[in-house]
Amino acid sequence: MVASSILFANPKIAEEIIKMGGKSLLECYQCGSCTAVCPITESIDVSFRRAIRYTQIGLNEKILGDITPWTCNLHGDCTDSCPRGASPSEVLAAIRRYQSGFFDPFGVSRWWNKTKLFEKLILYFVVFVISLSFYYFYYWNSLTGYISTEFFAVKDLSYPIAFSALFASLILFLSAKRAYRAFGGGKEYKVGFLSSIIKLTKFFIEVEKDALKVPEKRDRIIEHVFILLGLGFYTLILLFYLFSPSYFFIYPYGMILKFLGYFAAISLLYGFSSPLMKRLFARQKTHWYYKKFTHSTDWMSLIAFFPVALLYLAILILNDISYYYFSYILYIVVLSLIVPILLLEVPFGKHNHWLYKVLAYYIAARKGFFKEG
Amino acid sequence: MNGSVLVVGGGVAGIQAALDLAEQGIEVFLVEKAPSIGGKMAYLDKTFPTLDCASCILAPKMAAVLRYPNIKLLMNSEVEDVTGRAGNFVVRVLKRPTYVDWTKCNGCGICTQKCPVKNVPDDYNLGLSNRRAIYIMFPQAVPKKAVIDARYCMRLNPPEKAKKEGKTLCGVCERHCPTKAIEYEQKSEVIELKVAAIIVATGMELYNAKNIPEYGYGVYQNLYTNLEFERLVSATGPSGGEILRRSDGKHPKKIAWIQCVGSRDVRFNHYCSAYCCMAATKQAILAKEHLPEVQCTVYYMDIRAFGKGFNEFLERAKREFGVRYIRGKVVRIEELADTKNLRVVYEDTAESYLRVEEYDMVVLSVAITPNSRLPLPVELTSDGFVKLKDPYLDPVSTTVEGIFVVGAVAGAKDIPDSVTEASAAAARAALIAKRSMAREVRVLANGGVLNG
Ligand SMILES: Cc1cc2nc3c(=O)[nH]c(=O)nc-3n(C[C@H](O)[C@H](O)[C@H](O)COP(=O)(O)OP(=O)(O)OC[C@H]3O[C@@H](n4cnc5c(N)ncnc54)[C@H](O)[C@@H]3O)c2cc1C
Ligand code: SF4
Ligand code: SF4
Ligand code: SF4
Repeated sequence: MVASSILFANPKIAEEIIKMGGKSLLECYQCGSCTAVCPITESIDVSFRRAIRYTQIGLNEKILGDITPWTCNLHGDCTDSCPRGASPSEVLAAIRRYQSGFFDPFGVSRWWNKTKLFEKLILYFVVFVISLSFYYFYYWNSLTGYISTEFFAVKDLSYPIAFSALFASLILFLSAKRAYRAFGGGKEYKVGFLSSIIKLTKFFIEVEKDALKVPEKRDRIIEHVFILLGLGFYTLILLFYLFSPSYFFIYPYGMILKFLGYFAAISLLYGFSSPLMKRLFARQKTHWYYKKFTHSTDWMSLIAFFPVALLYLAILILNDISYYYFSYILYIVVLSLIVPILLLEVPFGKHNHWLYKVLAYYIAARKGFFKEG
Repeated sequence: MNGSVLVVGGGVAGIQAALDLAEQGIEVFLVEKAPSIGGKMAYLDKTFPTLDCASCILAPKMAAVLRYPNIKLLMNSEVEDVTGRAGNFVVRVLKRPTYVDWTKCNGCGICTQKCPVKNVPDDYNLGLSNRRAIYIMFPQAVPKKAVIDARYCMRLNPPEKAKKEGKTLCGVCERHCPTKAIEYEQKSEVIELKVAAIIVATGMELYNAKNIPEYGYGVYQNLYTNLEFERLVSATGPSGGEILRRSDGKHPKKIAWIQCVGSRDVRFNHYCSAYCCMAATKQAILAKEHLPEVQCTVYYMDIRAFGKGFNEFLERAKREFGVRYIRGKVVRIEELADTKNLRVVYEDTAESYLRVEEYDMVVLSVAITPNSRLPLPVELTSDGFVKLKDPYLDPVSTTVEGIFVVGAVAGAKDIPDSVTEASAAAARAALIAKRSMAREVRVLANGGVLNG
């Protein structure tokens, strides 16, 4: 068919990408250095240069379904060797934001990726205040009675979180479906499920093992691992609270839970404060990632999670030294902080990128983009 | 007489300017740092876009310089400082010793065969071959006179032991010289000149490719700069015009040229060096002419074939000689331990995939940097080239009145453009020189009173 082979160039897209953080998009003169130095292209047939080209001229059809930007693991070798002083990985991050704007069926993400940080913060604060007042009006009176005792009523408190999480999951599911379709998932698969999973695992171990040898890159990987572990454990604890058999929960329920709690809190605190500090006090030695990646969605995700991590640790400590009243108040504050994360940040902000990335890598593996040997 | 002009630098641009001025009867001082004039063009084998032999074009011009009695050559010299203003510059020139009395030396070259110090890297062949401590820069050198390189001469720079014992060593050249021209006692001298105008033509050097560690220049044996390659194909070069690999002395089967090495790169130099696209095309053709079986590949980002006849030249390279042009910047070169072959890593931007290809010789098309750090009051632009007064309407004037600039020191360019500028600047300098001379005559006629 002739019609389908016509591509429409839309120069407005370049403007949008720049707004979404790809500041150096138009610097690129298409030399291909970024593709050639990248440790990922050694294993996968993708061209970062081409992905950048699509956005420079604005081929929307090509951009939206492109898995290339998602294969970038932010090693930053490209930024060090770009002869134009552009930051290809930063541009790729912006393309990912642009794409995820279309994956979200309600278009909130598109707006979120373009708004300024203070606008995000205001919205975030409003949701926080609403959820705090909700807690105050619905739970406070019925629960304050138990504070003097060692009971800690968490099951009820977890319901707003559970609802928010349900909402986030729904949005994520719908977005993931759209992403799957855009990436061409399910079509033209050449590699079996199992062997592509094996290939992916091998690839990730290989490529990150090399990165671990470089101190500045190592920090970034360790931070991400801690964030993942912290979030995982924290979710586990929340789930436990939610489905715990007793209506009231006596703290400490058990040493395991307590240990998990401390571990999650400290992991999260490290994982979120370390990049935040590096961004704030960017020094010569820090990885380019922290100096250059200052898009509002990056700040927002850190700013949203940092107080949660900090207060969560405080709760555990206060509880251990028997300041139940304070720990209780803090717990409600933390929950109210998590509600906007689940309603805004996770489905529309930066954290849905984990999902798309996994999808893109999976589809790339199934379609045989990985090189042999 | 203050109607003379100083030309600094004796490359093709400086030579052209000097000749144009001398033709008009103006006295010219030509200051050249090296022992011969000729500049970079003297290193070249053939020139684009006509594939004419470089020395066939340059040699007659160089010889002409000697025929004009009003061109005063100051060889082995550099300008030390300049005072005064247009029409009335006072220039101090430092003339370094050659240790040979050039009024006696007839260029027979006997000394250069007798000197026992044989392992001095030959600058003219960029270290690809050796010469003696006493040498004539190259066979067609102008003036064709011998020079002692004091760093290597046993007499002038004897080993520590002999120095302590106060012995004088060697003296072979002195004994063999038929005209008794050797002068070990020669000292540097400062010459003061009064000139009306100055033309700066100090040209360029190649950028130091060792600053780009990814390419491994200076480490890998079969990796050359384009100027080295130019010597390699030249009949006067280290192998007499045979293209041989440094590692095993064999003919290469696949040669790659890498463009924009150190040019158009914010990490090194922002500017386009202007000559290298065409120079690589020329060299690929020359390689094909020398070795018809060789496969030539040029890695480029953009081919800049803007000059007259350039694009036709490029098309000819592709069609007639089958030179392969691949669009993609090479990011890394790796040497294979056993064969000493080189692997280049790049993205083929036509196919959008990472590629690795093996070559047995790789040539870097290196950027140029201007020789602009001069004791002259001229201003420079941020990229180091001499600043022009008005790039559109006065493209050969510096920001200082009476000082002109031509050739590659004013901006990266090829030979035709350098020569064009040289003639333009010669005309402008002649105006000042003649005006200043006329004024002097007027002052003399007026009994030495100015404004009479
Ligand atoms: C590998 C290669 C291949 C090329 N091939 C071609 C080609 O095929 N065709 C073409 O058109 N162009 C070619 N070029 C470009 C060409 O060489 C230049 O355009 C040309 O040489 C510029 O001439 P110039 O007189 O300005 O400078 P130069 O040739 O550099 O001459 C400058 C002179 O000034 C002298 N000097 C330097 N500093 C001082 C100082 N402080 N005091 C006194 N003297 C000084 C130098 O010793 C030198 O003799 C090539 C260049 C290279 C590197
Ligand atoms: S390295 Fe820089 S200039 Fe080259 S293709 Fe990548 S982004 Fe563009
Ligand atoms: S004195 Fe001896 S070493 Fe020195 S240049 Fe003459 S022959 Fe060579
Ligand atoms: S002339 Fe060609 S090779 Fe040389 S710097 Fe310019 S674009 Fe690069």
